[in-house]
Amino acid sequence: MTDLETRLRHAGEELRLDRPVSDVLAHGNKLRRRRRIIGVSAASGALIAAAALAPVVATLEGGQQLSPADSTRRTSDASATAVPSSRPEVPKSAAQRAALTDGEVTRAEYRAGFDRLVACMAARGAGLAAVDTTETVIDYSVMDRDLIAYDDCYAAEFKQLDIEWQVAHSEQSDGARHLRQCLRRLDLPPGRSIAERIEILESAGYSIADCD
Amino acid sequence: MDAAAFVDFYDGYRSRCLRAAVASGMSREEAEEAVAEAFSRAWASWSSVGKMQSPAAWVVRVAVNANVSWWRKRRREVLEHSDPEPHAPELGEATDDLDLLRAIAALPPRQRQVVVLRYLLDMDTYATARSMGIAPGTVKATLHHALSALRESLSLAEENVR
Repeated sequence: MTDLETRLRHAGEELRLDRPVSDVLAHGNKLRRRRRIIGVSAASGALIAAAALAPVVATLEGGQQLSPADSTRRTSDASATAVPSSRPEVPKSAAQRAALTDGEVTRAEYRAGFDRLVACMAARGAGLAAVDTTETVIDYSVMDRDLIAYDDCYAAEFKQLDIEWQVAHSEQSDGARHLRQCLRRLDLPPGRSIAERIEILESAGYSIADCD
Repeated sequence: MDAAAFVDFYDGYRSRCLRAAVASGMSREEAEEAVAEAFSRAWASWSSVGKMQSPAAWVVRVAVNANVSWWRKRRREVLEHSDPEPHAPELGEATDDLDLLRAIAALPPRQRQVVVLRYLLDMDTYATARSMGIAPGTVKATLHHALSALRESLSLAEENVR
């Protein structure tokens, strides 16, 4: 080995990354909660769309912005140290079950499910923030303090409706459009589906967080 | 998820990855942020990243890509027509290392990547080739050119000091 090669192997050895591993793990757990959306999606058959919901990856001061399908993540990721322990999921309400019986979710059923979610949370003294009902997929945020009420009410009134709706409208969602634009901005190929776009993004070393 | 394996990986590679990011043209401050973020992403995806042949190369790639992203955003805001200049690494008083890392950062991208993977991350030729998606022979040839360029660059730097 030449002198230069030896020098290269030791170049910058005084540089040390002093970030405690606990900080790295904690931040990684937050990122994983975002990514959990993808896992939930794949497990449920297709709700990859939720992963591309651009606002999902933003974090509000004092609270977390969650995708509608995100609530299940905490029950399926016991190894994430910063993730709360699992809780039994609340059964679907009669109204949600009724809306699901014909196998198709209409806009009216989707909207009614969301309204029931809001009413359920209000009855428990909780609420949603930054609600935007102007796009195909309703977007909203949940503050940390309201997460337990949210999880219960979401499962009871809205979750399965939300999943079915997003699967059916994944390519028209605001998140899907945002992801396409993000890939273009990063000079990456556009991909044919949301799942493929996420794969393209991640195989290039990016993550959904880069599309904030 | 194997947190213990990740902690071992982090302890073993965090400073190497930092050096690799600096040698890729990032400032020390940018590199610290980007590499820490990349390690967090590695943990977030540890079920897949942990199985990769070189998780460290992935971390560096993510860190460097994040910096490119950042630079692109800034370029749109501030600059319109110039190409990015590699950042002069900041290593305090370590002049030799400063020259060497600066010289690596100034290499053409492929040569720089080969040097970073081969020497700063201590990967062998075949692992470097797989990581870059090129043939082992190409790695060797690129490395040969990179070392020549570095020798020239460093001798010029020494002459300038005299």
